[in-house]
Amino acid sequence: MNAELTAYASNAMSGPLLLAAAAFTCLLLPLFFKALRGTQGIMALSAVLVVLSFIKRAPLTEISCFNGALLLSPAAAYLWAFTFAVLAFIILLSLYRPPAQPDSGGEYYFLLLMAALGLVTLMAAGDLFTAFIALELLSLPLYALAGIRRSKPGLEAAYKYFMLGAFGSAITVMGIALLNATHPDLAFAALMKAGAPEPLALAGFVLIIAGFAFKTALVPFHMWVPDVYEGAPTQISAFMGAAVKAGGVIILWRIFRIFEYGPIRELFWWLAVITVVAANLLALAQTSLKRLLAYSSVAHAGYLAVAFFGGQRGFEAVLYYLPVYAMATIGAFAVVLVLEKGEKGPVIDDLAGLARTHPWLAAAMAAFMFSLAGVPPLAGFFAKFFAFSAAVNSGNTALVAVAVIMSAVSMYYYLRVTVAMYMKPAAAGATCGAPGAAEAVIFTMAAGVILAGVFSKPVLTLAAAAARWF
Amino acid sequence: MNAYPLAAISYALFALAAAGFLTCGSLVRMLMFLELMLNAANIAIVALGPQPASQAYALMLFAVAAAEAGVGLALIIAMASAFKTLEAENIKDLKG
Repeated sequence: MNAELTAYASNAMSGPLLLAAAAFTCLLLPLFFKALRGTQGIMALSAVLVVLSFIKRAPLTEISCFNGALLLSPAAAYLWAFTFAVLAFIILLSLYRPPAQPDSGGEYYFLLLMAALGLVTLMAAGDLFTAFIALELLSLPLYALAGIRRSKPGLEAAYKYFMLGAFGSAITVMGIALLNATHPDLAFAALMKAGAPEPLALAGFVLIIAGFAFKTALVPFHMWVPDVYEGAPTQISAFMGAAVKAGGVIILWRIFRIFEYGPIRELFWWLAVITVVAANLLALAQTSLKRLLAYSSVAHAGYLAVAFFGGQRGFEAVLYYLPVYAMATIGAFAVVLVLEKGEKGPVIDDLAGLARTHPWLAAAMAAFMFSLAGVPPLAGFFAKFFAFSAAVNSGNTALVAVAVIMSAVSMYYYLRVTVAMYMKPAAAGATCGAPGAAEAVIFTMAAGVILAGVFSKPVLTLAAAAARWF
Repeated sequence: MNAYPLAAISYALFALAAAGFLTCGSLVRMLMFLELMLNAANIAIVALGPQPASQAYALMLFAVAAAEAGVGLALIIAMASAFKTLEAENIKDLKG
């Protein structure tokens, strides 16, 4: 490794290390200096902004760090920038309305930054075992974050997430054990070279895929999603939808592309079909806005799995899809946060007449819904278009036909939200908070959803350049 | 020493623990079955792992299992004080 690459690697690695340091600062400093209580959010936000500034244009090569455990490449830089940006917006939303009691110390930000640290490690992981450890570092803080309000819905969400998540982790470990019996080297690059797996290793792969499908929320491993999204603090639901799913998708793609054909492909095919169909049908019946967004997040995981079948072009679409989906999701959850009064968030009818009382908020929410539904010229349309066209071009017409039909079905429930806002009379006493950090987030996301659609070419070029390094 | 009997034990333990996890209704028992599943997987890694690295994986997995037990117990304590029960069937505030 020459000096330039070493300099880049140490610069890039200082980002996550700084994040860890900031997490402990948020946790410990207010314990010693009482004057600093209540400023943990500002500390966390400034640390994330500093970490974002550490992201530099990566040299066009793959740098293997820590004996291959982490791979730094333009792809990792792209995904890290994405994660840190999402994290910054989540912290902004948490500043607007803190999910935990203000005197509860910095554990909320500590857990959030630790989860982000796990996520960036997961995205750059070079072997399956590192990916598993990173997944645990991501999941354990999230279990606690889901229940951080210690209210009944929050704790129920946390326990469901914990039990099913830990069950998924145990299955992943067993899968790694089975795979390890025949493949001593668990690096993704080595697994690619290993050729067709024996039955034992195949069983291992199936278990590992099941474990990661739990985190990515593919049907039939999605049972926890609606309850957790509904009971967890809205900021955390937004983080789970926007960022955590991305981590699972990256690892599933790394496993998916090991197999050109064979049973694992079939497995992914069925996962994609069942997810897309079941999630969209289940979403039709929802009345709670947070549950609706939860099922929508499951459905979008299905579209991402469809995009896998487009090969390299499909993965370019995935890398474009992730930020586009994240913007619409964070924006929609921010609107939920502004409107929510109880712990479980508003129902769809609470949005009635929003267009009259808060026209700009309603317009932004409509933009998010149309982007999620895939209406041109919003970014969500181009994301779906790139994803589906890549899959068609590699000959998976039946799969894409199912996805397109179900995407049309999804119009119904996204439109229901818009209809409630624009066509129904306002409910009495429909008020919401004063302008603040949440509104800033909402309008930034709305602008992003529109701009990433209108200027889809440059963003896609960026995503394509990153996808080449997987 | 032949590793296969050990591997067979770990599979049986894993299957039994998974079945117990899915059928029992108490949160504490579910957590214990989870730990059993992780330990069974750990035995499988030690028994089948062909390399020193696999034995190191097992050590790291101890830490993961301990962290998981820590978070799980903390959650169970918080739930016991909020819900006054630890039977899963009595905890359904959210539509399941």
